Amino acid sequence: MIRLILFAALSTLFIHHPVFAYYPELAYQLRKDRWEGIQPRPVSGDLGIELLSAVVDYTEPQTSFPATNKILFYLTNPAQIDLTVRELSPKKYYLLNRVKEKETWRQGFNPYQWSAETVLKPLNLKINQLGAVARVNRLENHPEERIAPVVLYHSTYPSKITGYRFTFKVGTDADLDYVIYSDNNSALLSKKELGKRTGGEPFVILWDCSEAPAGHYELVVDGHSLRDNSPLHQSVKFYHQPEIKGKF
Amino acid sequence: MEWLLWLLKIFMSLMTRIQTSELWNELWYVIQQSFKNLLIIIMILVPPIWFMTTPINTHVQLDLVVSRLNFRVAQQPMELENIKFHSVTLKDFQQITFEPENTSTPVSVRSQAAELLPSVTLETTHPSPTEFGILQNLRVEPAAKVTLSTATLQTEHETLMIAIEAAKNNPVARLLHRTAFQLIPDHCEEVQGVDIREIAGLSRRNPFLTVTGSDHALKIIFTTPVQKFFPVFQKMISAQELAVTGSDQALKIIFTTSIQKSFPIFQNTISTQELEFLWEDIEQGQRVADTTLLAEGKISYPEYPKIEPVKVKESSFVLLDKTDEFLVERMEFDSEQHGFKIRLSGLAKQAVVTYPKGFPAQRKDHRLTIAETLGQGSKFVGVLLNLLIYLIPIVIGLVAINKVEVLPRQKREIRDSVRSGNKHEEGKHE
Repeated sequence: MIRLILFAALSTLFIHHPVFAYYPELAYQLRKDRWEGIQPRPVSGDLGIELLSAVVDYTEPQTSFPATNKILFYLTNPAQIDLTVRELSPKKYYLLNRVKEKETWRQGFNPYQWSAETVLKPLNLKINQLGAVARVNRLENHPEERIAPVVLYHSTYPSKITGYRFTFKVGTDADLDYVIYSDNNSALLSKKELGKRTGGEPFVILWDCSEAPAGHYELVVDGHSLRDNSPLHQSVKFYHQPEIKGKF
Repeated sequence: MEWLLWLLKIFMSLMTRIQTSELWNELWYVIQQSFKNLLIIIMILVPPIWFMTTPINTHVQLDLVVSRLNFRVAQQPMELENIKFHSVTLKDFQQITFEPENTSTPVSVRSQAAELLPSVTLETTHPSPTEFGILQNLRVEPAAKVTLSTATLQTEHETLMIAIEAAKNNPVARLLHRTAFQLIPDHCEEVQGVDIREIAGLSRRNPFLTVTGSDHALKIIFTTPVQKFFPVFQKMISAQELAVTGSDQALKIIFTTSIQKSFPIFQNTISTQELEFLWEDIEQGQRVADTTLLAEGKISYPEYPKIEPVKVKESSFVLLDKTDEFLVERMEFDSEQHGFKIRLSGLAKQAVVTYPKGFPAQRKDHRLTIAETLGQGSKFVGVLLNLLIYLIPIVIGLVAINKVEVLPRQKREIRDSVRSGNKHEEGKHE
């Protein structure tokens, strides 16, 4: 009887608290080989530039919810990978990370897949609302990022990579521009002014790489904060492998 | 030490006397009677006390200053006030249409795929106290979810964000711009044949931009010119001259307003549900909810003006039940406090809870009880209640004394007299 009363009291206390006003089965938790679910809203403490997503510019049409979502990324050498999948424009605060499938991922293309039915389907989140980033040998955001661009798909992956979408967020209102270098010959491939960007609002840099040969590249986002003119800098190094061969 | 031993001796001798005499039985009887009576008194008093002290449906009025609030529009559609801006960023939109000066053909800027997070920024070319754009009209339909928040602080401007998630139709906003402005598209479809980046002005006949939201949503982030207070929502809908159309179900508009100390956000009263003044956060890896209150607020009771309003500290949480409907009577942006000054009123059927940050166990429901409200209506009832409050315990006390002290004594006397009578009769017989 006492247990029942305690249970009722605690349930009332917790269920009526707005923080717990979502389905607990969708909460961020360990699910087989990954941590996935609704994360708390992010802290807006970091005023620097943050890389949210680095994916191949490829959107598969999605008419119904697939059973699984898939990821493919290329590594030049075996490496540890910190894989993160999240909403591009956070509304439901979906997050997938801490994938425990492998300690070290192999050289070449690495596939990974996870169920879309456990969290994504109840949240009605489609693949085009998601972003992903595979950080190489590093577990947190850093001004000098080394990443493996990710192909995000659910049934068919592209045979050729013709573009990349990099999504960033800056912590404060800032004036920014970006350049893309080829690490093969240090040539400047692209340069563009991004103009004023609102703090906390994600934005996308799209790079058309249809003419770019395979090799190492670097995207540099530079600028200054409009609040106190402090300089802002973010570099993203990656390897561009234009063709996807093999079955995954 | 000696006096302690002396006291102990007295107590022990008293206990021995009590145990050996009839006093013990009498004392036990009195204790039993006292508990029985106490139980009866508690049983009689609990229902009326519970009835008198349980919170009842109360008409409350909340005056708060918050940096962020979420709510769902309940019944009537609401209108955003005319808000001046020096720059405005539109997100989650589908298309923007307008008619540049000296042309008769409307121009339409359409967003590209949603995954590119398209946006359009309008910036007044020569921002000044007299040169600015105006958000002329933004109508929010019932059942839409609205988030209002202040963005990063700047010295010359205030940045506000309004995000709308509509239930049915895509939200539509209308912007007025009489002077030259720059239109900066980001991931939008190219407009052929017209330079849309430098707009000298909009046509006199139709000086409006129409923004249509996408996916039943629209987000507006605006930088406002300097003004102390300004309203945020209005009642009347103006003519459809310049409008912004959100993408399906969504539209996000970011304004940079030039500094005005305060400006109203709504003109009419808005009926809302699911009001929240919360910002969820992570502190040292732990999930915590944070309050968005910026200054001391108050909860008052319009029907009972004599009842002292409750002060709510700025570090406190204010939680309203999702099902309760509240009218937003006033909403202003206050640039001195960098937040929204709001006045809410409504009939709270469920708890109106506050608690200090970090102390959820100190939750307090601020609805009134019958005990608090009874005396407020008429003086007669007030005096009567005051008398009853003093009289009831006195009467209960007298009854208890009578039951525990007087009646047992009378019984004992009767019993003693009966015994002595019997002894008399026995003596006579002998």
